[in-house]
Amino acid sequence: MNVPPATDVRWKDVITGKVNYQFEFFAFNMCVKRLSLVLKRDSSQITLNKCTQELRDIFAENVQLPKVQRDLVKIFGKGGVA
Amino acid sequence: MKQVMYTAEQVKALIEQGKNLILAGDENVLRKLPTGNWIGGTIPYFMAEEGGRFDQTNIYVTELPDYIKNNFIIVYDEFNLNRVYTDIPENGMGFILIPAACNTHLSFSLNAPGFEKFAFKPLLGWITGVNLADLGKVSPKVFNGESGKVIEDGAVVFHMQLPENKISDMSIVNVFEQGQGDTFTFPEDGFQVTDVYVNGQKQNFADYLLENKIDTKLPLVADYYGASVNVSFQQIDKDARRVDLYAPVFQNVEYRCAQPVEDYVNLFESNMPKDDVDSIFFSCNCILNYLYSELENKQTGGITGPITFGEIAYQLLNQTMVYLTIMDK
Repeated sequence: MNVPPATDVRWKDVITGKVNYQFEFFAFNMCVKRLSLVLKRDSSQITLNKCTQELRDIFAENVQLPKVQRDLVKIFGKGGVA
Repeated sequence: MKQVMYTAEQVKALIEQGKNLILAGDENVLRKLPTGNWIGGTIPYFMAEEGGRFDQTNIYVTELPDYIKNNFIIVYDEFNLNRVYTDIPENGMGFILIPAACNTHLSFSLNAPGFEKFAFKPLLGWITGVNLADLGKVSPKVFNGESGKVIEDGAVVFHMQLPENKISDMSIVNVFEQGQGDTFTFPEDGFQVTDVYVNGQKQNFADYLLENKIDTKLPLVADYYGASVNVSFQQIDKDARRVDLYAPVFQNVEYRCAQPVEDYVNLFESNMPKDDVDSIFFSCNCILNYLYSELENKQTGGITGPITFGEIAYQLLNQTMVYLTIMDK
């Protein structure tokens, strides 16, 4: 499964809370919360880029798990990760 | 059901066979064991084969499957624990034990989410404890079975690598959900709380809990994007007007008191994914669930494991069952 690059705006939408998904994979629940708190303290573009890259890398690291694949589809749709 | 409780003699035999073991038991029993490929933590409470039990004689054994390779033990202190996630091997996981109330426990609880590579790979484990009758008299400990060292302040971690055809997945079962009451935020991270913002209004937290007769057997619950994460109450110090917690609250996170739970066992079983039970490698549950839900002699969906003073699934959790499954890719 293809994990979209960190530059895809939908990663940012997740971390900033513009969209709100209930993830199945517990690591994402923890990470998205942590990264959203990091952004609350420092909303600079550099920090935002770092956070989206980190979130993307966690998905990529765990992409072989079926629940991670389902979480990716929630964010990007089936076409976005094919 | 698979055997999980073993006598010291049986465990000694497993160690002498070269098995890789993660052990939970009373300090006096763990001290009898020879050196070998094992780590251990002190606790005399278990969910055993037949249900919840207090046992100072037998040991809860988790044996690493033979296909797990490249396993190694590292002992950390509060100053180098920040590399615990980066030390986990590729396609691997770390199993961590930390004694309750030591500096390493406090440091991990507050700082783990900020450690490099947090949550990239599974780090699971538990906070070790003691017989509740010995609280304040006996300190919880962890054992590095490789060196024979007994540790009161530190963390012992069994790092392990799965073969390419296997993958692990860590999950939680938390029967608690946010209630409909007031929303709490806190001005700083910490275990000891004086000030709280209740629906945005600053108050003393101890005063609030007492005046509103809040049931402190129920945890504070935060919503982490659909996952409920608990923080349990330890005590309200009326004189100091301070609230002590078993895990830290974090600044800017919104908490609420949990919705009351009528029947823990039934609710737990209905929350437990049935298809996962056979592939569970390890699980543990919280001493507060054991006490408040009176789990002694009761079974929780066929799940076994030590009863702990805190659960670790990437970071410290309270009043939560943590479990890790290993499956084929």
